[in-house]
Amino acid sequence: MLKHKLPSIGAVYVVIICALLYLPIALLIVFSFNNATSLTFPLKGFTLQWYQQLGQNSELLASLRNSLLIAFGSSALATVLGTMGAIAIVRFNLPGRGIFLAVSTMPLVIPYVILGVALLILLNQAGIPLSAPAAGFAHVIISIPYAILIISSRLVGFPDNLEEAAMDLGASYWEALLKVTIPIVSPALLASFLLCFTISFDEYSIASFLVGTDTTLPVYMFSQLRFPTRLPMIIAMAAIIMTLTMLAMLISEWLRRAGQNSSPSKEAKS
Amino acid sequence: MTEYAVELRNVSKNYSSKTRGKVDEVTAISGMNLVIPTGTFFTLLGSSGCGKTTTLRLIAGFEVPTSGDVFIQGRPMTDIPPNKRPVNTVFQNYALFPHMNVLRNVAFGPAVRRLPKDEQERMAREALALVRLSEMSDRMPTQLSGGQQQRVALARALVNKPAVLLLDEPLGALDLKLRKAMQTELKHIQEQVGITFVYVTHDQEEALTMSDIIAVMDKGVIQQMGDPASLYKRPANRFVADFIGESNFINASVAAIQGNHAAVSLQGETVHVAVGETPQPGSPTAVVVTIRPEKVKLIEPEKAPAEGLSAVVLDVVFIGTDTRYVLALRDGQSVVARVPNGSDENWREFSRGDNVKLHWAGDDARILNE
Repeated sequence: MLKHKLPSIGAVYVVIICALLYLPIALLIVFSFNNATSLTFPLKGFTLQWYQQLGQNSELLASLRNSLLIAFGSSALATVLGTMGAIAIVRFNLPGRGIFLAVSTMPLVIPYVILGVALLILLNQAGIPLSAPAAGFAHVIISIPYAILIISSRLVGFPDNLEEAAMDLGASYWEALLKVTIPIVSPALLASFLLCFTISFDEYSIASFLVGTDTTLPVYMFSQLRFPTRLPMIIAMAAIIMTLTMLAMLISEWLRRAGQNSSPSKEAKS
Repeated sequence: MTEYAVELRNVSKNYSSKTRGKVDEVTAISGMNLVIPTGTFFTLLGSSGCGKTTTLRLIAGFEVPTSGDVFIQGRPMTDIPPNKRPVNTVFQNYALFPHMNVLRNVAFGPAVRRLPKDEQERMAREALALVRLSEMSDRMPTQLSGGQQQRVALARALVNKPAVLLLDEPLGALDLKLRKAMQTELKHIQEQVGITFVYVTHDQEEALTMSDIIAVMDKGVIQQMGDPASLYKRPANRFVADFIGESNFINASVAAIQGNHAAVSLQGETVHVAVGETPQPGSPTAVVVTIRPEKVKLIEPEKAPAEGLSAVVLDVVFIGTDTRYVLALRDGQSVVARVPNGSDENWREFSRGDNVKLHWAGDDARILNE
């Protein structure tokens, strides 16, 4: 009896979750095309003017550029450092690697506001000016745990004697890493990069403390909420970001899975 | 100097493992001296944990000896990393590179040596032809059967024409029929290329089939080294006698030693046996006599010659060409005999409870050095 009811309970659960998650997003996208400054029903009519305003707003475009640069730089650096950390943890029997892993993944549980304030104090003491690079380095810190976890799970998944086999055949350790390890974990590297990119791109708290005048997109958007007439334009921007972020996450997840059950059978036919 | 492909001088290897703060020293190899003549098919035989794989990894360079020295072709190798040693390895799980096709896997060695592209491909195709896999060169490793992956691993290790090829239980994952076929083929390939093979296995039958020389290992020490026939016929100690083939061990006491032979007595009966490599002269002592089941002859008591041990048949198992008897000696020690069915005119079938005499040729039974 109970077994028969379970699927329907599951279905209800899925419907509720989806409604809570995706209804607001759907509304956001709907209102971004609505020809009115207030976010109320009934809809007034279809317009693209908010999207056009985006293209003409130089402040917004500058903050978008800052955000992209910070996200690109921080995710690239986090992926490189994460790869090194993951190799150290998985491949080498280092003393105290448990501690190393705990310290590296600590930023996962520290509230970003607190991390932001702490870094602000540190930068002030050190006399480092608040800027986009400062925020970028902070984003490296918060992204590294994700990079390490994604890449080390991939490293655990393949036998370490592939590196031994490469060295046995005459490759140096670095050649083995470059020609065998890196190509095999490359889907995980890309997945890590994309995830870190989205983390940095929509991070607000730390950036608001550290960017100084190099405003990032989330910081800019938050500051514009004071002006009711600019709300629809912000919503249009949010719709674009949401779409791109979801796309990046889907690609990242798809890469991670493709890497895990890798059966690269296509190449053979050529 | 190149008479020996590999030489280990007084090599020991300890591992320290830490469990809950306690450091345990585990000795994998202790004081090993080993020479492997150039061009031989050499096998390290032993059960798991006996140190045979550690020995192989010491030769490959993946492990550094705690003490002692490793020489390859007469050159000291102890401080040389794996990628600079003239040895290549066939790994137990093949360790093929999953992101490269068969040809690129095999060409990996020449590629990291930065040989010209066409030379890389020529060498790889030659190695693939040697293992009869030429038509598979475009496949990915996941598209191959276990046996084919095994051959790719072999071709990849042979492509550099190493001085020594190390094989770590390479046939372990294959089914019995394929394993038999690969045993013959490996031996054939070894003879064809003339490279020294150092082969690690726990399968005594595999070792006997392929090897020129076998080193039987136990507890990190070589128990005995020799060609398959002499290991089988003249095991140096109980471990070797037990590990290679089936053996009976009979406790008896020495009555007299004369040259290479001894008279031993058991419950008032005296039989003659051969003495091991190092005869121990002196007072009559308790010894262990070993004899292979197929060397034990069963004779009816009334037809028997004067010499022999009385026994009672406990169990009879018919196994096709042979019959296997489990017998009890007068003092209760059990002996296994394996008699070919209808072997000669004296042959007859015994059944449970029959009294028999056990007889053997004097050289077939030997006193073991414990």
